[in-house]
Amino acid sequence: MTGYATKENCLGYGLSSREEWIRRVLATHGAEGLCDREWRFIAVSAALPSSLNATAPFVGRRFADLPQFKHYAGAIAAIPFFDGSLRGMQYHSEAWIDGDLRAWDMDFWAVCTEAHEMLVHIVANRAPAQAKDTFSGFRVSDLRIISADGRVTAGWSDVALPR
Amino acid sequence: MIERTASTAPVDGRTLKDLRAANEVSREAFARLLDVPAATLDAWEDGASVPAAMAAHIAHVSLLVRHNSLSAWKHRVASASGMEILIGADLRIAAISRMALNTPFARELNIDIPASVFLGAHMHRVLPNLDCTLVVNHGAGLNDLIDIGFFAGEIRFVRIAAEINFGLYAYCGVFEYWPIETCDTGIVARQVSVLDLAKRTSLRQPGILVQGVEIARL
Repeated sequence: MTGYATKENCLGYGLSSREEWIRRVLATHGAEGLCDREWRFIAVSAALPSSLNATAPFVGRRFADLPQFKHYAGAIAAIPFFDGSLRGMQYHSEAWIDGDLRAWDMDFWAVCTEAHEMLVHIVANRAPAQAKDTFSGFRVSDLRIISADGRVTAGWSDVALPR
Repeated sequence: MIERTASTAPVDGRTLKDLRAANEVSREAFARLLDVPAATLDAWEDGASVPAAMAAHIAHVSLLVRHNSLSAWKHRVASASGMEILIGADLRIAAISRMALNTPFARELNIDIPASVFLGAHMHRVLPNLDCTLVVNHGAGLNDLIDIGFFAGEIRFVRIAAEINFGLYAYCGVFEYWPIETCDTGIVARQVSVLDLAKRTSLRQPGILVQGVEIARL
């Protein structure tokens, strides 16, 4: 008995398997995704692509393959998400799409499966836009990194990323 | 898989005590996770040597506690960007996100509600005038979460499509209840609200208009 590795009724969260986590993400009506330690999407809810106004399929692609982040693969890979030291990461993002300013609050949460595999649970929440003027590309601001011990590192710089 | 390089490093009892305290894990629960008698954990925390052979196991338990304890989930829900509430098996609110406190409607009303108003409160007190039947035409509101075995591990999720009218404001959407099995205090419910702000409300007084209920069993 190990106290946690012998659970037979693995539920939707917490001590679940990778497969349970995938089922969990696929079942929600929210805009959610799941990435493996290579930052590759292994599950995406039905609402995520439409929420982000994306048309290309997510599953199988790496986060850094998204057009907005393709130049930042190294930086994304350097985030210590998979050694257990981070609990989460959040940022606010905005983009002009078809003349409308769209905004999202993005949450990235570390998930530990029963096999001790670390995954990233991504939750996209539509949010009020903050920009007062037009801009090109894609803007990221209000970055917060939450350590597993509860410490929060926050930055408010406004970074424009190419589309 | 996680990096295991640090898992063989020696661990002292003080580190265990600090980890347990920081994550608000009880002595009994922590001993159970470590698979040792509580008295052994006491001895380690009081200065007795921790066997080196336990190092890898302790590293795994530490990871679990930092990410899957009730304390970790409280922090996660409280800092979530969306509308999230963590509900204990006694139907009391264990954590609530800022967005859940300050819905778009409340923001319009310039209300900034402190979390302390809700933390520890029973869901029925928070929704005093709302007679929500979880199962349409049958049930006793959120008590149904208990009755249907939600906290006993028999449910994958519950989804309620509803309009909620608080009198001053109202919203429509989907309210999902996901079971979280914490490593130290059993199953709790994470309520996630996916609002449909474009949908018109139809209730003219406080209440919940349940438009559909989906209960997914294991």
